[in-house]
Amino acid sequence: MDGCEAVSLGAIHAGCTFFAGYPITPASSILRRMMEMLPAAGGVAVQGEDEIASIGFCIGAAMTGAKAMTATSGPGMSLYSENIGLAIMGEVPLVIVNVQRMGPATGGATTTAEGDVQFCRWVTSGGYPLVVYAATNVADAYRLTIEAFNTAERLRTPVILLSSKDLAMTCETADTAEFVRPARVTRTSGDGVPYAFRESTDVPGFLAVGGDRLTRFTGSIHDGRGVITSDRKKIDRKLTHLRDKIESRADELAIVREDLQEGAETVVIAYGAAARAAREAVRDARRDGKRVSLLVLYTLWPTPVAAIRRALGGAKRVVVPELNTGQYLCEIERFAAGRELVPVQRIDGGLLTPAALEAAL
Amino acid sequence: MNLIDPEELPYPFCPGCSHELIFKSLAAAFEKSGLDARRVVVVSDIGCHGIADRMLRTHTFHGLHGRSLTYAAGIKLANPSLKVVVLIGDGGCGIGGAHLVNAARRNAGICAVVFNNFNFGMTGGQHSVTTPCGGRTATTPKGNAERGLDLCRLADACGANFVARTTAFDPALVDVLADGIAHDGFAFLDIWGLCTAYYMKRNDLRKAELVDTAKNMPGYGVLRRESQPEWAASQPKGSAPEPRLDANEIPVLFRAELKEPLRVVLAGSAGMKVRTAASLLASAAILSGLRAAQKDTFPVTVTKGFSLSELIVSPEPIEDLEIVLPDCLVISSEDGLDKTKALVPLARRVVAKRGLDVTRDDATLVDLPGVRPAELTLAMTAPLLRDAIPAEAMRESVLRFGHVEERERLLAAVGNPAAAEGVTRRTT
Ligand SMILES: Cc1ncc(C[n+]2csc(CCOP(=O)(O)OP(=O)(O)O)c2C)c(N)n1
Ligand code: SF4
Ligand SMILES: [Mg+2]
Repeated sequence: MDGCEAVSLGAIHAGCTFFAGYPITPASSILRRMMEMLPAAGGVAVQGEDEIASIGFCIGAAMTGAKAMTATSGPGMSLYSENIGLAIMGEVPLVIVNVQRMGPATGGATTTAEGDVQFCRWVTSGGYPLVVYAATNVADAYRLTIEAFNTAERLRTPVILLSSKDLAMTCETADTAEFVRPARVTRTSGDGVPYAFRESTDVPGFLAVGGDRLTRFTGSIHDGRGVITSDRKKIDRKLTHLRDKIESRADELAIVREDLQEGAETVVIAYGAAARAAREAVRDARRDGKRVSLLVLYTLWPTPVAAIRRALGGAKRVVVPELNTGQYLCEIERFAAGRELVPVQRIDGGLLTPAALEAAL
Repeated sequence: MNLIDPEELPYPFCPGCSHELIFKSLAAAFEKSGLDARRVVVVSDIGCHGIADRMLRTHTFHGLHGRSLTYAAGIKLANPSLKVVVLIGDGGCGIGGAHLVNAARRNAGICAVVFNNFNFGMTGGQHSVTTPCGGRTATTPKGNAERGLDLCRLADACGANFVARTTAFDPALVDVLADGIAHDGFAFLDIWGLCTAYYMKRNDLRKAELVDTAKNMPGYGVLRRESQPEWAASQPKGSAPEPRLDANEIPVLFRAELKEPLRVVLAGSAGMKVRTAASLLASAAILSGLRAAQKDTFPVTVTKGFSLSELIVSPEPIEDLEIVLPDCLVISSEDGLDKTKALVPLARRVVAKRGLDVTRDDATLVDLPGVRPAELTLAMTAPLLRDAIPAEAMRESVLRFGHVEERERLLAAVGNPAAAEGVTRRTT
């Protein structure tokens, strides 16, 4: 199984009913598979005229009640940006898969890189949060696709799943019997106005466009009825809500794997393809008698603060392997005062190897 | 149904703005159509026409500038029973031109009503794609040097099933709108009007001239009326059961003796079935209880040039996908050699087709005269993995996953005695 197949199966198992995408290496085979599998299973899958149309189709479909997904890579992600803002503002449940390749621009279509970590966090104008997951292998890609759908449904938000070229285009043995398949979550229907919430952390009940109760969808700043507003109080309330809805759930949204050792002075914090090298390097270091902790992050945003704090514990050195120039390092730095930060980075298109990490352990 | 909520009146537009006339006619057309408001979605674009969205008593959807047709298409695809109407400006038709072309080409079941006032009203009267040549706007103060786009001809050329051009002043506007709304496929209505705040002020354009110019266009009124299948309704729909995770499960039927990961690079040319060779060997490894990972690299021109497969087989889960020092490097063509030159000195073992200029004294050179290029890489690689993967597993892999018509040749390749001998003999 490759990473694209894992995502496609995860999507269908999560209850995805709508897919639209535009071909781009290394994400194309998600489009191909979804067009093969989804209509056969009763859903809709189409190729848009471009990425803007593809995500636009998804947003429209999602607002009728469909569970929608799109998939792309860096150049397409850039074109999604404005519509991701729309999905944040309009509170649209939507899954976006970004199979990273080397950027900027056309970069390297089949070249490894995981450089979209901050881009995905800050992808919208205005700077409001969304949820970003990152997979390390096919099993994660499957599970996290389902988690992404569930979170999108639960919080009415776009969720980005980060994959990367090596994960997408490497065919690996998959122990499918051991895959985690989270139970499906479906959005809660509303019975009032389209954007009603009491506490700013609440998620408005969903009213389907085309449903029995007339509803309004808008990307303009709006009140609870979905009507554009210039009332400062209402503006503040809505935008605070967009932040709180996500940020207040940082712990609940944190998917991590903590492999911590008592008394370890070195901790490795890793995600994505770089976490694979980290797992092996830590295993080897322990075989050599070293005490090393490992934290693998599957949720990148909102930052899994509690897990990071736990992992940092009594450690003196924090090793952060990344296939970029340190995009998560700066996030970890916020919590790592007094500790030595050891970045291990590679940006030449190759993967980090366990050997490259060993020296740092 | 009453499209406009009386509580929201008056209209927000500048005095004399044609948008108001079009909305009034739209309201009458909806009334005439007898549609159930709950089954109607009005998707408005960004522009002055879009600010009236709050007045509408249907489902409303107000997205991004120029993208209204995409949301409308998604809504219709997901729920084809809905009547989906788009309100868009000439500005939106410009920035979203690709969506207009494609909605028309696909015959998406959308009625698009264009509030064409030849400029961007909302942002201060800048020129748009429909500003006529010579037209003065904020951004063409000396007159537009570009030509104006005839949106109707565009929509028609792209296959819109219903195309109409008229003006906000047309007494028949209500009927034209009602016809467009009733149409099943893509209906495109180019409705000309006046922006009293900007375009009208800067140009000598009055109602009478606007109407005259429209009537003198190569087409006026309903230009096309056809009914072809609508896009959403023509989507394939199956009811197959959900695909299973283990649909491609490979059982473990054999036992391998491998203790350490084995990293093999297969380097050949397009057409030599390098990827197939790696995949058959990977499956053989899995049939023997091992893990496998395969990464293929090839140029964009897939049927020309090199073809490289990196294959890792291991008794343990494979984390490290980067082959820095291959255990075996198998080179079956000149292209493959070119691509892997840097690996030649690094590989533990190099097996190459005889005749290739491999710069390593201890390379094994094999010559397999009877083997076609399509099976050569497999024949050269299989013996190298014999210690790791049982021969029966390789045969089983071919029987299960090899192309029916190629099975015999593939079986011969995995069990080729000359290859086995050649590879083991380590000729220099
Ligand atoms: C991506 C983007 N670029 C620019 C704008 C600014 N903008 C708002 S409306 C508009 C043009 C509106 O013109 P038109 O569609 O003709 O509508 P009108 O106001 O004339 O009715 C522009 C450029 C925007 N909202 N979004
Ligand atoms: S600016 Fe022009 S288009 Fe906008 S409301 Fe005024 S007259 Fe109408
Ligand atoms: Mg205009």
